[in-house]
Amino acid sequence: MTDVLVTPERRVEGDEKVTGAAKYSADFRREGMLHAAFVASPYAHALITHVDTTAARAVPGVRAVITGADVKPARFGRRLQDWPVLVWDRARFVGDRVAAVAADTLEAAEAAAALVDVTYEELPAIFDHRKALDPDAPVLHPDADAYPFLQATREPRAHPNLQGGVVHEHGDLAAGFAKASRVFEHTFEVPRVHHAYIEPRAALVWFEGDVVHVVTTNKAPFSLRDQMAVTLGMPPEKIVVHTPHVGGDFGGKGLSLDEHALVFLARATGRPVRSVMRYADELQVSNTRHAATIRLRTGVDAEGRITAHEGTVVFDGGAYAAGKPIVFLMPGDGVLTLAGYRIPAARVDVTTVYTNHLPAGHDRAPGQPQNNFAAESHMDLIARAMGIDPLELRERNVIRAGETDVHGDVWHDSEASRVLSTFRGEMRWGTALPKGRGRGMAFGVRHVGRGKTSLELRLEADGSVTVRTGVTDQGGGAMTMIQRVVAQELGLAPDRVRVEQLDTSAALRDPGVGGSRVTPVHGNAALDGARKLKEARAKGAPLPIAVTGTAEQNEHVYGSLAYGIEVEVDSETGAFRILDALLVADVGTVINPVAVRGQLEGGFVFGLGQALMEELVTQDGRVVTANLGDYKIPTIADVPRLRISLLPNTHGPGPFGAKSVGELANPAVSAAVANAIAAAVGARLFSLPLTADKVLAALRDPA
Amino acid sequence: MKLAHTATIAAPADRIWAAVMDIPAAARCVPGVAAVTPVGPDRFKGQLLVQIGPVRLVLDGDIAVATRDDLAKRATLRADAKDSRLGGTVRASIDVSLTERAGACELRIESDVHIAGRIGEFGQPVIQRKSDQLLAQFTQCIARSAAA
Repeated sequence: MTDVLVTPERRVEGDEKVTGAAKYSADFRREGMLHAAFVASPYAHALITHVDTTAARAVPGVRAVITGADVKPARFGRRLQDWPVLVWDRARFVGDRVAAVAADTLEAAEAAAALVDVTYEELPAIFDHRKALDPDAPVLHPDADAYPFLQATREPRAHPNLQGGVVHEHGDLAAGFAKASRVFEHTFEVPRVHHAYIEPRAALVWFEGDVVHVVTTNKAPFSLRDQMAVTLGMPPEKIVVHTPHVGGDFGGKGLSLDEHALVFLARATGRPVRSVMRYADELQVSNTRHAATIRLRTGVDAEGRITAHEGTVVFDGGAYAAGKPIVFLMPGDGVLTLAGYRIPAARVDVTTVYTNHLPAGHDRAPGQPQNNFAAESHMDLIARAMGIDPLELRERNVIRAGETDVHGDVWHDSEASRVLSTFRGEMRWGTALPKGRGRGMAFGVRHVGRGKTSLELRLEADGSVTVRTGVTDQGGGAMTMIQRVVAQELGLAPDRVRVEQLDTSAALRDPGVGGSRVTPVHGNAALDGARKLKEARAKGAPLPIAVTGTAEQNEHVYGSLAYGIEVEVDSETGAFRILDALLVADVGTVINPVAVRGQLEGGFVFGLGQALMEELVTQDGRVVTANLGDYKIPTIADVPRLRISLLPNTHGPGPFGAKSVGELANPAVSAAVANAIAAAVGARLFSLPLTADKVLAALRDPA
Repeated sequence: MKLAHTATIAAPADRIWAAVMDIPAAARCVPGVAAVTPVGPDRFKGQLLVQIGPVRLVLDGDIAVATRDDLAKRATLRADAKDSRLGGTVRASIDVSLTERAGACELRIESDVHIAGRIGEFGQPVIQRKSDQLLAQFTQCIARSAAA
């Protein structure tokens, strides 16, 4: 039997994508289709006192102009539905949608949108998340108690500007700090960043009878369907969500925005309506990564072993919490302020607050890039203050099987020590470097995804297999992974396995892409289905055989990694250059070798952007980096070569021992670079991005 | 966005100040300004045409003199303008001051500009450059008319 997994994969959608034949949401057209444009608030916080659409309606080709009054009380969101489809009483950030137009052409729609006359009464706004919970802070959502909260009950809140958060405690904190020989405290700031996916958000919506069809860039079609059902007051079976190829997601496309207004426009006109978001709007309106202020306080004994840890994180949630799917309404792993270490006692206090900034949501490993930058800078600062080598300090503290982490979870398995010992050798750690150069490291962990799903598999009369799934592929290679798992189990050539993606009316319920879920969950479901086919065939069942493959992965398992960065810093200017980059990672069994490498390299570049240049700069709530000239992301000229070393013989809960890799590699880049700069010239930076002017300022004022 | 411009003008302070505070006349010193007309005491209406790269903006708006001290030669102007074709608003608070030093005068214009809507999507460096250009031409023109 051939081992499918040793051969590099050929992407099932690869030919389509490289020839341009692949269709993305913006490529879909329908007969009689109208184009939508939106009216956005120029104010960060304002009451809407009057909307006059007379002039807009008079524009030739305009078929409908709708305002907040036409959609009230429809709000959308993944968990808390606090984001109005169009605002009717107040705008809460610059870019909040006030009205929508559907017209024969995009030009007519945009011309009409410019003629909608809105009268605002400006209100005091909050732009500093650290002040959002002040007693006299302006309140953004006076009616929050009435908002739908999906599949759970919302806890009462101490302040109306509190979106969510959690307080975690375990162990005896006071005793832990009392036992410490030294206690360290540092505060870090991380700015708001955007996913910068290539494909803009796009949607096409139409009615067939009382059934609404939605072609969307949303990566979790069933979740969108269920959210829309609540927003629109429609039964879920009357909503059919189609997600074609997704051109990059990085967490942002778990939340759909304009789709909701399109439903109202399609209903008002009886015509299909389409919108494609301009990239300037992407940067001003959509679901960014949270800016954060992170204060860490850690006690260590004389050997540097952690005795107690306190983390306080304030995330800037922006105007709406709609982008956050978890019940605590915080970035998913916001609570992991010192991840991957043995922590006998901890208290972590996370709050997400409302501000009049654009709404923040999920972005590749939500919460972890912020926390990892803080945690791994903090560890380096502790190491240097204690006179312990930074790698040695981490080796003394990384979690081993049976030990408790920052969240109070006991790890049953840990490759952390092995990652660090491999790292020591590969990085030539401790060897001398010329003046002006330095080596830095960061350690990181990411959970293996959890969830459950089902797929349909059919062994055809010709011996080939068809798999039907409701999962989408945002570029991670889901369909190829499913194909190869089935092929491997059944001893087939991969091209004998077809994977079909179905819409929400035809597929079995699926949680969608996200949370590092697809390989461990969908891979296991594919494996389960393949095993059932094998069993049925062994019993002599006649072809074709149809089975359902199901899997549920609830184990708390982590992958771990270490980055090593060598930099050369010019102490005259603060400019620095990365000379060497190493990633040692535990990814479990590899199913798609090309995709694994792509995810690790891509994760590195993604993290490098956040480390070196990315920041959605705002002034009085308005995004001033509103184009990809001002919002910098790395180009290949900015990216050094990355050496990758994968830990052999590791085992995860996914198919054949796979783990997850999509969100593993991006969070730890920033701290590794910051630590390298500190090692080279002694300049310690406490905020991202790590720019030459900050290095220079730190060199001049080492306080 | 905060912008600051200074120009040294070799002319008597009173004449420069009079040239600056004659709003309709001074506005003609800004390239692209079409007729500025008074609509009330210390209130004016006007139009500014700006070409930024391939994009032409037509800003319709009001200018009001919020504070004015002719003895100290300080004034604050507020401008509110709207471009209805592209969609966007510009609000500016402009502090103008004139100080005499060593036989010449220094004219200082400090602006706090808020740009919203699509106009704000131009890169900040582009807006900064354009504003610098306009204000430089403005001060040169004021210097010429005060010297004349």
